[in-house]
Amino acid sequence: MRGRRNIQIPSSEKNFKRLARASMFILCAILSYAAFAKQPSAAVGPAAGDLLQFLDGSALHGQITAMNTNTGVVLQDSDATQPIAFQPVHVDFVRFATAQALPTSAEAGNCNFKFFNGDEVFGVLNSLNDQQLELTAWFGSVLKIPRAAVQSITFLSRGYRVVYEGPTDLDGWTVSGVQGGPSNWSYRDGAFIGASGTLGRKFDLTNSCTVEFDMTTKANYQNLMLSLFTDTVDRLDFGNDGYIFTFSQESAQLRRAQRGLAPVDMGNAILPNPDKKERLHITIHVNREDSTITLMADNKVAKRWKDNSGFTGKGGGILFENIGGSEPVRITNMRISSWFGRFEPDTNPLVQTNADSILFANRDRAVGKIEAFNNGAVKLVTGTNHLDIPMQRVRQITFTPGPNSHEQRGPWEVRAYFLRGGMISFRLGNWDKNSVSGQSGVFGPLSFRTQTVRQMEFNLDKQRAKALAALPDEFGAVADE
Amino acid sequence: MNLELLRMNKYFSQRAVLSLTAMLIAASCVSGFSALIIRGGQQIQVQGNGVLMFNQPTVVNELPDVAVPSGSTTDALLFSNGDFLYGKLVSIDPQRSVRWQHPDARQPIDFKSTNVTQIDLSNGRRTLEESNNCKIDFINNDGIKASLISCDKDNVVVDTAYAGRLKLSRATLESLVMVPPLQPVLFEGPTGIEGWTPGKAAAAAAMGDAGEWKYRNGAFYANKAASIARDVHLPDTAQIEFDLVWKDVLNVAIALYTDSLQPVSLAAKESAPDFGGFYSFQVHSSYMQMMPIKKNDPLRELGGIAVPALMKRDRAHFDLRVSKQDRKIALLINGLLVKEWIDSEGFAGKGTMMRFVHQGQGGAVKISNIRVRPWDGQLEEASPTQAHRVNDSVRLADGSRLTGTIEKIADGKLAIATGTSTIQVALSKLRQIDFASQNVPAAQTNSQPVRVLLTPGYTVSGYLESWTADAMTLKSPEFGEAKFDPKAVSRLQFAHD
Repeated sequence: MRGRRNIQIPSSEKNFKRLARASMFILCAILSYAAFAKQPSAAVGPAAGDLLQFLDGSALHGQITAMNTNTGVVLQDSDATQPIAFQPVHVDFVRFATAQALPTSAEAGNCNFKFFNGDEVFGVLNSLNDQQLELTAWFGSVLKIPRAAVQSITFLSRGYRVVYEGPTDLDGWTVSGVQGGPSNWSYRDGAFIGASGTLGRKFDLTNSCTVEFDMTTKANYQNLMLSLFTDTVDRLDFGNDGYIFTFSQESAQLRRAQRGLAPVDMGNAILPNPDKKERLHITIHVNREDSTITLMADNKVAKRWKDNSGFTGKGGGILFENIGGSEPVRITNMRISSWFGRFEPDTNPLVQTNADSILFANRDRAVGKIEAFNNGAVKLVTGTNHLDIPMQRVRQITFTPGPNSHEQRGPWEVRAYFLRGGMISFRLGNWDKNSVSGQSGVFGPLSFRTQTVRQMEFNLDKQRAKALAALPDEFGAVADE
Repeated sequence: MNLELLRMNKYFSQRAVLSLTAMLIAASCVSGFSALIIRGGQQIQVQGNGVLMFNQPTVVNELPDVAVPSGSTTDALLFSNGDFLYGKLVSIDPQRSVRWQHPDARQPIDFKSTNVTQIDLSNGRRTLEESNNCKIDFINNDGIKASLISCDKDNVVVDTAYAGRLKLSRATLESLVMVPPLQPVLFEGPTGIEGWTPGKAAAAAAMGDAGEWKYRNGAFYANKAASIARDVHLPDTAQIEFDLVWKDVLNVAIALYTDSLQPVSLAAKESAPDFGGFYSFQVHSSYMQMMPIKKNDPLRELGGIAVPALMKRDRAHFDLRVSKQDRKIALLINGLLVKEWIDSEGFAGKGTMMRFVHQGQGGAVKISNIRVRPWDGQLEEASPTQAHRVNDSVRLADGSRLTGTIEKIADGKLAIATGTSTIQVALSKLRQIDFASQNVPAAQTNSQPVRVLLTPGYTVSGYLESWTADAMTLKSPEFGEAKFDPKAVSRLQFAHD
């Protein structure tokens, strides 16, 4: 034995050291999270104007002054001495700073139209027959569409409204630290970015509703909590009557919170995200009448919970909290809509069957072959039965998909995202400050008002940079293996 | 700040550690943080705001900027609002217009530099300048390496490979350290996968989700547990340099003076095939550790360093100086000496190989510019603070120090007036000069203040007069007006009012 050299470290001490190192690591991470931005990021000031983002993650703010095949995408950047004309081959998207929705009618006839090419339009159904659908979109255009391109028509209830669409800024939101700690929720370029603390806002979510948003995080552990129907918007409060989700890239947990009682774990859901994408579109349909909560990721149902104790949500607010420590999370493309209605939310629109189906106002469903639309009725053949169903009894029609074709799309094939929802893809002909025109394989020649578009995406078939990527990344494919 | 210091024996029970740690981590999550105060001894220190420190750690909150080559093929232009654009810097004119070429723009774009904060340039790999014989630090934290030519009462004249001959104002200088002639490089790379030995899959798998190091453009990349090793013929006194670039979490270990080309699991080292002792330099995102590893000996740690400064970065230049005789390993990060480890139980390393191990559970890592050469065993002394530099101070190679006023350097000799006499010192005996502080005249220019990171890892500041493909013209109180080779520049940082 030669003194210290031969002292055997007891396992408890090894564990202690491991723990100590881990603690040190965690603490240093905590110490430094406020400055997680990687070198060479400099201090970032406010950014204003339209945002032109490239596929490599680079971005410029300014004013888009023109977009067409002759001039390219023209940006007036206040730092540039002249307008800059970019060819669109590497453009990811343009986000417009001053989009404005047109007023919509609250009367009956508002529908959500989904198409097999992935487009989606909100508008009023004008006519429908076995050859053609005609609608007036909320963005103002009258569209005539071949019936074969239509995937589903959902009749929105009379009280349907979009409660919130954004984010566009932090106004109205409450940013708070956790138990006196710092809060790092901020707004930038259509995104809430949170590294710690809570972000809450009171809405009027007292009934069935849909909450949807894009969640972007690198963390493969749970790092985002979402409290629904809370009346406390400055902290996460398990004493509120409501529901609390905890998300990671791969899973979600739902808990029922009730005043005076311990939270009840309602179970986990595996999110359909086999590629471990950093950005997921989360949709939560809440049906108060049925006490059901349906969670979807990228439009695929992850799980539907039924609260057998009855619907508990009493507050009208929502609250996000980043619980991941150093890993920021981004919330984008948020939309909260309220039905005040009775019909079943469209929770599974992308499940393709080989039959048409009709969902009735009383929630019955009939499956068969839709053969015709005559005199305000749908003719549905189910086996040997022929049913003539008045349109006013129909809540949703889902059509059998046609032949699947996908052609490679060039850089001028764009997808326009509209305020109040909906998106259509088309070949852009011209964009100016008043109108947008182009040609769609589904809608034919298109024209609509520029102000109704909040974002236009280019190069639809090209791979995007990681949503959280910032500056030059030399790892490339190696890091993505 | 209120400081609550609890002194505890390191060897208390695991239960106590668990509960204390949980409590403190919880406390740390809810409290604000301020400066860390570290005191010695084998103690755990607990500060009032929940900060834990272990094992006499050094805390490095700030690091110098150095240029770690990115390997990127495009330049990047950054604006103060966070915008950035890839492309190629064409020119910067005296009217502060930055001309930029973007591949998708038909015409070059002229940006006003008003809101430009930084330009990253895609210059190549770190270049060597074997002829430099001195390292010069300026009072504004700039620093260059150069070859000393002469000195008079106003100026120090040096030759550089990147800006030709520079006449440096003595008033701007803090210190000049003579650099011994560089020893021949024993290893420089990587230049390919040849000559390197990947870790066996089973060994790598034991560390976690197994991957492999891949070679690309002068660098090794890995994003999962992987090991690669080579006999780089580490000498008894060595300088070991490499650049690390990481994405997300950094979690690598570098084995020094090992005789094994295969990774050794520390948890199962006793059952591993025989290996000689080595040092495991463990590098995490904000914490580092040096561990002597020997078979049949308990694991020891020579002490840790907390480097929160790395959390703000994604790259750093590591420089390890090793002396077997002194049982010493010194660590410099971005040129800053951050830790010296002394192994009180003798030098553990038995081999001459190095092994780079991605430990898994981390992000992607890039290792490049690995360089091994003998070391003269000398680390430069810190210069006195500016307030204390009333006179010039000259430190000689034998450790003696002369204080006075340097009259000149010429013909291989330094003349320093000390009281009534002038002493001549051969430059071969000169180790370091700390210059007396003086007032620095402000530069007369309307140009853009800019900080320039040069690819070899040096920094100069001044006013950018112009940039073309041939030359960057910089005016500075340090050296007047000088033309720099643009290829030597890796970054321009613009200062704004």
